[in-house]
Amino acid sequence: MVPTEAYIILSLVLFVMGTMGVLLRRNAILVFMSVELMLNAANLALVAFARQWGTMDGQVFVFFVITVAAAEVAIGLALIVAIFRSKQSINIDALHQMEG
Amino acid sequence: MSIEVILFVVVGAVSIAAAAMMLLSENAVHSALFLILNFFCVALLYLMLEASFLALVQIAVYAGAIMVLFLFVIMLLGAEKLAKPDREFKWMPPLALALVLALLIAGSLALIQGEVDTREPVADQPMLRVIHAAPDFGPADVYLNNDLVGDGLGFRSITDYERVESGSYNVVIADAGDDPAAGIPLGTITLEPGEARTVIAYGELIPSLAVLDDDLSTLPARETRVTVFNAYTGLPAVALINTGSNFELDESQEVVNVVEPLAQGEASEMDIFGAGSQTWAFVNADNPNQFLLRLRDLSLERNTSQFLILAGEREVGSGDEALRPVLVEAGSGTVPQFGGPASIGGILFVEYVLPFQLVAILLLVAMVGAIVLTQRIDVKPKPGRPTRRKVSRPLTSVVAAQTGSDVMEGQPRLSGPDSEQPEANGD
Repeated sequence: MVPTEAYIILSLVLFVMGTMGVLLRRNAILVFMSVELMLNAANLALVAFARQWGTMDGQVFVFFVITVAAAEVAIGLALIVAIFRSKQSINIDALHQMEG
Repeated sequence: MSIEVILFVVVGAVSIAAAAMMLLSENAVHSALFLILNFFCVALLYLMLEASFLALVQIAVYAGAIMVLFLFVIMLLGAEKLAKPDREFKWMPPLALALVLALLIAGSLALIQGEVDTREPVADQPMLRVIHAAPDFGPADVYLNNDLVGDGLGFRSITDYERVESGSYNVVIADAGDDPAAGIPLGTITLEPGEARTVIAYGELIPSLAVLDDDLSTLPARETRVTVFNAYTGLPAVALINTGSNFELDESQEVVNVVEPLAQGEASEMDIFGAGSQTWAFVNADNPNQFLLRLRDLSLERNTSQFLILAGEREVGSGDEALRPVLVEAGSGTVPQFGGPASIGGILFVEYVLPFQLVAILLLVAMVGAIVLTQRIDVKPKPGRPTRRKVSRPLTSVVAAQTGSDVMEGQPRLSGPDSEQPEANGD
């Protein structure tokens, strides 16, 4: 059986890659996708610990996280569409000037 | 390396590679597709972690709904590629790399120091219960390698299933409150991961040990698993027969064995019966007309696993010889598969109802919010007189135009004060 530590390390690596995407990419949609990657990494850790402890609570929490992620994507993409309408760009460097 | 480890390494490597390609792709559509590949890999890992329901939700919601939404927005905005303006924050990439490396090192250190993996995963631990069916032994404590598993068990009492670590154990029975060293060793049992076993102490004077395997997986509705065990020492062998509704055997009636005749200390094969009441009786295996015990009150509960144990009870006040047959019934509800829809639904609707409702409201709010955010603000109804839209001419005026006479003539007008008069000939 694969030890829980291996899953946690994999989850850590995926989380760090998501963080790098958030910090380094300039495309707002890609930043968003990186956030999804981070959420997934956290979910993987939760499921691994749920198996370790033999309780379902971790898996229920993952279920909630997936639901919240769906809500977040709906709002976030609507925001991106709204921003694209006013700025004609989704480069996040162009967004730090908040005027207009 | 076991096949599971190989699978983990392959799937994990693919998921990391997909995440890296997602970060490095210039084209946002390619990034989205690599992220879908990553989500599929994570779903496979969920399957390996005994989370079958979440694996399917991951594919349906994440790889399906959410990523389709992403692709839709990317293509709607035509934002596959960004024009490359100069970076405004030149200090950002080195700082980000330093922070990310610090996070990686801190996380790894925490893992190494924290000793996450020193225990056996609980979900795989074997389960054990103890049944006291030895008539000459009073209230008893049952020990597994000096660990108490049955505390002060009386005759015919049963403990619940409890998880113990897998391994080999010496079973010792002692008088309640006595030192386990002074108890009677019953024998050795070996527990493998994932097993559910029942330990039965039975027999006259010095108890013997019987170990039965149980199966706690979910059954189709209206069925029950039944195992019969013969702990009755008054006869060489007993049989469990189906008697018919009057619990008697007629002369002509053929004897129907429910299970094969059982010698002392023998258990039947586990068999599946329909739930509900049964007309079963324990009889002498050599003489079916000698009834030992009629199971009039037996009702098999659906979707459970039942042990029917025929034991002998010392009759009080009638000397030591007489053993009265009694039934010890040990039922156990089935356990839904770990991580399956039944187990996650059970906990969701019992313990997490309020968060579930809150998340549902959150989804509703998000839906409304998405609609509000994407609505164009410049779409406003024009000021001025609201215009009425004429749908069509009334049927009566069409008829009047074709026949030359008004069919409504002479009848009271039904139209309200604000409606216009129908024009017979149109404009």
